[in-house]
Amino acid sequence: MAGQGGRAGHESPSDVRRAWLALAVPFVAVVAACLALLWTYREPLAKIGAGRGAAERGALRRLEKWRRKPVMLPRMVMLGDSLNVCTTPPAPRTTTVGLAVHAVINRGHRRFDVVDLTQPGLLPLYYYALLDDALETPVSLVVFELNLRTFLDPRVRAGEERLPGLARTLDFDDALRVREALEREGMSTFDPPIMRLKQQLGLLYVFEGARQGALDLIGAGAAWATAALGLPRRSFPAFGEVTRRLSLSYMVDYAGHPNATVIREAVRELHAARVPVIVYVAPIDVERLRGTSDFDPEELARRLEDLRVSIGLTNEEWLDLHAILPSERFRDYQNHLKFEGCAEVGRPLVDRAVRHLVKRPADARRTSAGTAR
Amino acid sequence: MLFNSLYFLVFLALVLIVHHGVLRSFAARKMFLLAVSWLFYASWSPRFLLLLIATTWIDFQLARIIHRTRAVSPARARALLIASLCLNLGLLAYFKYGLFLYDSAGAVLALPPAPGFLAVVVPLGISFYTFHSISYVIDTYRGIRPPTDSFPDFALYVAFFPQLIAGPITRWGFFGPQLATQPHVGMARIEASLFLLAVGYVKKVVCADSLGGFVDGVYGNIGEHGWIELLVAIYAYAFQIYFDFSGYTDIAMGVAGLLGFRLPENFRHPYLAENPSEFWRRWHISLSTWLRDYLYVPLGGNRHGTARTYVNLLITMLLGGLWHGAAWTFVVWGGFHGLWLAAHRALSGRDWWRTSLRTGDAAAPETPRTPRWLRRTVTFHLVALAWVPFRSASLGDALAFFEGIASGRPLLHPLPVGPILLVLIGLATHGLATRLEIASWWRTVPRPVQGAVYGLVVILMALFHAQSGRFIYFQF
Repeated sequence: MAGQGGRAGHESPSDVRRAWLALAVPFVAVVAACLALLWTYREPLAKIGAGRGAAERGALRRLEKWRRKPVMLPRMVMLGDSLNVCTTPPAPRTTTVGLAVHAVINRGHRRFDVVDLTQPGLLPLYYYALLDDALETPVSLVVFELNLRTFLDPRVRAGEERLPGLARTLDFDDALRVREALEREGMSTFDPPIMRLKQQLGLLYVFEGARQGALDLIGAGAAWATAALGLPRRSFPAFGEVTRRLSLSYMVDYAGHPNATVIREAVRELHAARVPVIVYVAPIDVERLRGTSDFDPEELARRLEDLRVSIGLTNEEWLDLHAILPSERFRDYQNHLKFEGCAEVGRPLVDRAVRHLVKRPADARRTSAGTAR
Repeated sequence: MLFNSLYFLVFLALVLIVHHGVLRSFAARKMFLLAVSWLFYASWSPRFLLLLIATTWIDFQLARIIHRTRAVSPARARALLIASLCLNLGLLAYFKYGLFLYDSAGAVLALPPAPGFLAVVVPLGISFYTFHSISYVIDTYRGIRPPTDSFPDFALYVAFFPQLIAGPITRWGFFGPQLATQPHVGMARIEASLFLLAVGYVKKVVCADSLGGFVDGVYGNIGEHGWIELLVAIYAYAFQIYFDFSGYTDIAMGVAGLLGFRLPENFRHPYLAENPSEFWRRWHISLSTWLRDYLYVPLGGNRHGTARTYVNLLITMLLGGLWHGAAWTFVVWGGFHGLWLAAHRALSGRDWWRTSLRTGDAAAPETPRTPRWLRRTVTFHLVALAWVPFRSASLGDALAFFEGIASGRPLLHPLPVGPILLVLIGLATHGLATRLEIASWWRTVPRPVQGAVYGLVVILMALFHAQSGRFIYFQF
């Protein structure tokens, strides 16, 4: 490395000091200027960044609302993803499993509130995080939905763009614990403590917003280029091809999947806090799968039973609804439901929930999130 | 502790402060570097640190005994060499290939499911540090250089944290002499190291990880993407893996440089290669030269006739493919490169393929008749195509990938403009490299400008950190 340009030769301490200053002063100035720029535009940037997070869009907002409300009735917290949304195109009539449950439960007399924290795009990892805040209010029952498609990838789906929301709900101790769990499972390089720090500094979504803003510009360019070049686009993947692949891959090791670790941990904490829990397996289009390939329903049932045991649930806490719906109730290959599907999922859920609440009335509550974790 | 994590930057800062600011003697600094290297490894798995230390110690002792006995008792030295190879390759085979070999045999012989002791986690970096030790013991056996008497020196050579996880695969002959005298870390070296760090981080965090998001999406759902997306994914992965691995190497070299050490060059603009042979002199140089010296040459190299040379090339590349992982996809990738190297060797000997420069100088190189740009284009495309089985989860996926391109399926998403831009940037930097030695040019840039650019790099890292992932070569 010696003899480079005019900077070689003997270096006196003052030479070295001057060299460092020449490097460091512009370095600090540029970093400070960029941070100042980001700070100046933090509100619009944060809006862009936060807008990407599924948790921020819906579940967290609803959770905030429920936390502010006085507790009048026992609360049943529901956690799940887009399989809770039922709609029938083309003239959409939309409902949710939560609404269906609410309607059935309260048909006669009001017995408990349904805190619906389901949100399209939520991952089991979020359930774990959302519970932290949800349990700060008294909760009488927690219901998890399990979407079997989220187990098809041996890793947890990336979805890092949504994870800042997770970190936001955690305090530092929990953020560190989640980080350890993520690393142990090889699930993600996402770093909850850093996200938590950014949240406290008010910068959580500013960087994400700046990056996302740039990506949006590129995305707009991409859409324009696609149209300008007249490149055809498909509206939907070929159903047969996808189901064939999925039917094979539904034969995965559910009990060994990182999602199971997350659910197991959440259930363990609910048990420790003496909060009743129901985990239900959302319906999949078994009828169609049977006709497409070497799908093995008995083997699937056996693997789901392994999952139940590995999570540590009793039969009473486990509700396997994966095969309850006929093919015509499904809207697409991802097992999203048509309008009528929500009610059919809601009914057995209500039966089981009522059994729990009758057996364990509203005294099964927590008042502090800090006690269990 | 990933190089692209804040934790590593804090770790590095502490190491530099103690190394340069607190410790004065070289011996103390080396002991300190050994301790932090082991700590760095233990941060991933304390259990496997014991394995690393144990194998290091055994190889250290075996090499010393081999050195003492090779003159008086060659048979004993040979037996000890074989013992060392069995230990190192045995551990590698058990951790990395045990399950793969059992499953592959089981598919043919209808064996029961693999026993639990085969389903083990692969120790991080085992492929790299095992190759360090093997080359050290073989070089000792060959009498190329004597072994060191200092266990800490040898342990530091094996475990030096900048290169512990993913190389470059360093030879004792390169690293050992650096442990003899305390290096001077002047401003020139610091500036060169900072430049490498900045380039490495931009390659990794901005380029590789941005391309990775697109590539993962395509390879995760091959059947759903259109032919244009699949085609772009071929080029995108070619540059993702280049940016990722060469970025890692740049960071490793930069960190080593800040501590006063040099690591060998691992990449030399590989996509400028004009043939497969040149590609392997430009891509993962430390691995290809290792395979050449410790596998291809012992197999006989080109000393036993044409046919045997081709077979040796094929064996070397097949094993080189398998080194990347226990999967048939890597075997196919290695096999393709082996066949391609053999074919190139066969063709380049034909008169109709090449033409003499006719300078009158008998020693002058001969060049093929085809223009250089065409040779580069063809080589780049064949390399890029070979990455498809390398990246695919299975051979079935690789076939589905090529079928998808042939299908003419329309796009699933808008045209991937972002990845296309990054691929063009990758090509442009390769093209620029033919005209400009960027590192040399950078040294002429005024320091305030350098500092300002480093500031921008830090901001870029903060912007792109959220999407940043593991280094691809960590899994190998």
